[in-house]
Amino acid sequence: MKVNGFSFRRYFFFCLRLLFRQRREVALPLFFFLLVSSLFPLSFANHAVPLLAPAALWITALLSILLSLNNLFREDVEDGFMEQLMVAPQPLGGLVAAKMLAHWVAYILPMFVCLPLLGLWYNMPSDTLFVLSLSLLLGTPTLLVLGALAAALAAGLKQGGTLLILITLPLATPILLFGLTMVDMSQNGLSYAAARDFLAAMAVVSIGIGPLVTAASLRIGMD
Amino acid sequence: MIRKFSSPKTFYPLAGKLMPWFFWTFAVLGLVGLYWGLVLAPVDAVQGQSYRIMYVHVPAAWMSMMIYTSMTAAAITALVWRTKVAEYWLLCSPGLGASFTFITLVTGSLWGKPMWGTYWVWDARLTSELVLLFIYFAILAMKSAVPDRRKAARVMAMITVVGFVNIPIIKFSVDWWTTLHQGDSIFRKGGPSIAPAMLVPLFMMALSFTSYYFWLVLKHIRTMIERKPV
Repeated sequence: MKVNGFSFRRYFFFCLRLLFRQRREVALPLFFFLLVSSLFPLSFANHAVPLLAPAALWITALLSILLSLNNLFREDVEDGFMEQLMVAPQPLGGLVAAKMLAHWVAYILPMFVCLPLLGLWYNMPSDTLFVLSLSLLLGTPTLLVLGALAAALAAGLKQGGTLLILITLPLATPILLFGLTMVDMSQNGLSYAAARDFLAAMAVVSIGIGPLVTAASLRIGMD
Repeated sequence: MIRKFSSPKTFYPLAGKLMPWFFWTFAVLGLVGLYWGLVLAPVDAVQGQSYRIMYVHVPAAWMSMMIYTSMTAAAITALVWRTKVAEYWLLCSPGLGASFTFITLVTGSLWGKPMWGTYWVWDARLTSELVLLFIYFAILAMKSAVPDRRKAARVMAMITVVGFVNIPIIKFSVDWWTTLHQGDSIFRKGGPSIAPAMLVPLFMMALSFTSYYFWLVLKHIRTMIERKPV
């Protein structure tokens, strides 16, 4: 797919390469994810851990995604690269989409790799672990888009990082609740199709219009 | 039409003409509605006197959602047509919306203690209303973080439109989930389930609250126009 000399694949790999070169920084949110996830089983009584596990992992995942989003546009805005992208003939929505996909691969995909380990920490049955992973897989695109939108709006601001969290958390609450409903239903042996379909629908909408809305927000934020 | 109505030059005198109407609707209906609701309306067979808090709680809850909906309309107008009045509308509404949401939560809690035996439960209606309060706070935070007024309005507009998802969730939460909060008793199939002697003052209060909001918004927008002449 090429529009005005813009190749989604090339820019995606470009972003990925950049992220790989700063892999120590990229690892920080993942480290945060592991650290906080280990705090929950430490601080609660043993019998409460399985009960608590899905909620703890979902909240920790949400927070570490927010932590990672702080870096999504900030450097590009600060060193002027974002302004270059805006005046470039390539569609900004496409550039943002490639950037967000690279962000998902670099920051969020490793969390899924760690999930089986966390399942062991939390003594989670494999069924629950599967449904939890599925709920996170369907939920993270929407979380990423909501956070990217907030990051774009807060890009040039002094308190950007705090504002990003403040804006995203209330907007992300429904996603969190539906994700946990899914796990809860499956734990009680009920069908979790309704919550799964809702999350999937939100993910499709987010992937479809998210990059465009984020690009528009960047233009507003950089105004 | 939008362009003509929303140019500050047309809007300013129009708002000036409308303001006294809203003010007197607010004042007269508010006083009559409060007296009728708190003194004249019959005592509830089950809840006793404490049901009377609904004359503040229910209109405030309606306002919390109505203000957000009006903000969403203003946000879309501001983003698409970049009209100044829509931006002003957006700038001065979230504070009022947050106040009404806060009143809703507080009066609801006070009623919940004698009726449910608890100030707060995490049921869908209460939680989504609390989320609405946090969304209002997020919008207000962005307002204070962006120094330029017009840019602030457009940043707020983006968040408002995205956050609108929460409004249908609040409205239908009592139908979609099993909640401790009772279901709709006014706008429902088969007509309201409240006696007219209790219902009429409720509508008076709702109309009074709405007029209060419009009166304040118009006043606020006029002040903003005055401060920065076009």
